[in-house]
Amino acid sequence: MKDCEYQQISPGAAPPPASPGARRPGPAAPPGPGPGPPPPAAAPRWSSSGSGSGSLGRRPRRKWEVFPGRNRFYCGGRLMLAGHGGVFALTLLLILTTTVLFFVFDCPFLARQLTLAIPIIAAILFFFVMSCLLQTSFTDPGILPRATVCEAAALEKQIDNTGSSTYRPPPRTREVMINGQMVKLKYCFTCKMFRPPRTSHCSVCDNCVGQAALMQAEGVPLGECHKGTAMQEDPDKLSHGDCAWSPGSELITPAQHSPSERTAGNTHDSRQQERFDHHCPWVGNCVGRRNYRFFYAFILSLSFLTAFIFACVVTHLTLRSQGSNFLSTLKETPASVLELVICFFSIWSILGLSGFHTYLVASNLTTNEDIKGSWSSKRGGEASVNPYSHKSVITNCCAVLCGPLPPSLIDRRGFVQADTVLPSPIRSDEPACGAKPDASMVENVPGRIKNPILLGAPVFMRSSQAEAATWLKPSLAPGRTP
Amino acid sequence: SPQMLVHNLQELRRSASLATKVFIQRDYSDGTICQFQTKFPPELDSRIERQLFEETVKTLNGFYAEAEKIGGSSYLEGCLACATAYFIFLCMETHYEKVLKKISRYIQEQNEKIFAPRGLLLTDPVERGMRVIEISIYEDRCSSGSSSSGSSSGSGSSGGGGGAGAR
Repeated sequence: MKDCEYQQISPGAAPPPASPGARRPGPAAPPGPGPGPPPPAAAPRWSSSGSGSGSLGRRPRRKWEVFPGRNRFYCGGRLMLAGHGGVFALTLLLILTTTVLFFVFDCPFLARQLTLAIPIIAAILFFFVMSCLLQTSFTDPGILPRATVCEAAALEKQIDNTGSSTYRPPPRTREVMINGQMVKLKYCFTCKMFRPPRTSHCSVCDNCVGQAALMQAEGVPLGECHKGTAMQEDPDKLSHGDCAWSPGSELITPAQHSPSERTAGNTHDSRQQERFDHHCPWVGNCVGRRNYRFFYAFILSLSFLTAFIFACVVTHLTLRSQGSNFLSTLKETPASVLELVICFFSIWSILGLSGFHTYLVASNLTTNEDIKGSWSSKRGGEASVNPYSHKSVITNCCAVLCGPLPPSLIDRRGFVQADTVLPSPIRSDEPACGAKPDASMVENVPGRIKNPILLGAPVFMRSSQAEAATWLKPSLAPGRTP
Repeated sequence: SPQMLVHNLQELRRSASLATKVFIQRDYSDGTICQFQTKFPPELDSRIERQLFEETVKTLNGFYAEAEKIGGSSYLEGCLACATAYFIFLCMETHYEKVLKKISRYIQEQNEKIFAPRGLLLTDPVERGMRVIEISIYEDRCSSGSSSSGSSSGSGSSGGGGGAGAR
């Protein structure tokens, strides 16, 4: 990760770019931007929008166009997708194919022989599935915008002041008390901030995403967020530079899980156990705190739909073959066989996943914490209880599914605005976009604007790669708290 | 003079001399709901009364608690949304968004009445990912001679203040 570089902030110049430009990043797009020297392709674009008064005549850019993560935006920033859409297209294809075949081949027969309710129920279920799937895939999962330059600089200064003076800086963690329980917050090098509780950095879309965290509960003894195993087992696993959870780096071997979780994870998507909680390639997006309820509703309704279609097709074939040979029935409705095959193979993984997530919802865990056994007393050491759970299954379920929907924090359709002094993106609904500085006020301001000390900038010169690289190597020293 | 700072908030942002920024961090002691620390940062010591600042932060905390509360109308809205496969989220504004608008108006009002006359500016936390309340401190032109040393000591102590606040 080459993201630990900071430039001296000079107030008069354009602010360093937040992104090397990623409107539609392909697979070769740089993984994470930093405030280092921009690649040539991005420089003209940024400097035109970032130089404040120098940007006359240039179309103001919307924030989604300069979004630093690996997401793709459609419909002018209203819809967003993460990663490659290939598997998502497959999901859509399977669902659409099965349902359309069902309506065309099986429904007429069943509606005639049994009841008209069958196509109606199927239609309702299909509507639920599609609505939830599209909402899961195209909404913001709870991405946290990266820290602004000033914020990053202030944090950096704070860490420096309280850190040690040895050559290798200590691991960047901050301990906070949540409901009486000590939780460690890790510093994200890509997003330049301490990750709030229940937030992880998704390496696929290169964003910090809030997980489906809800309300709080009563206080309890010591535990740790995200890295439950590291605290109890091996302090060396606390590597500084890992804001990307690559496969294998924090992998918990299958032997450490209970069988039910393993089955659920494996059959659906084997990568889910390696990566953090919820980057689900089947929906083409991260599943975080904003779209978890859509995801849950999707898999629940999909299990019902699959089971329903399966049962109906079996009934259909049975009824038909009562009159004649089974083989000739198959010749009459070949599509039914295809539906049967698709449903049969997907029902196990979908049902398993539904059950698993129902368990998570009821106990208000996230997949990540569950797989890592963050709160389980089986892991040895002190018993710790999930500080986030309400103590009741019903309350937990209601909180997940019916609680307030947090807003999107990334303001995709807002305009990028840069002050001449310090960058400060302004939301699109504010009237400040066209404000012109008053000439008399500018004159009266003395040359203090050029004083870099005011922004604390010189303290943060860290342009050497070597120095940055030391932060990325796992430290052999045990984790120290600032 | 202070009157020039009051004139126009946008001009304040763009052309007045920005001295430093203070970041009020989140307070996680009650869990993951959005609350901010009410601890008074030392940089603001000479700029604003402690009580006014605390009152502002407490009011903001109250708004966020209201936004995230489960129960009452937000619960009904959630249940209705669930029953329609969340389709209505496409059509209507959620409870949270309504409260955010209230917060935005409140911050605007506070800036106009209380903070701008003192050369300060609050930034809505929602523009910073709800991580911090950013307070921009502008230079008071009257004390131009002595304030350069004041501002560097201000930015020097912000690290200590912020670090202490995190514990």
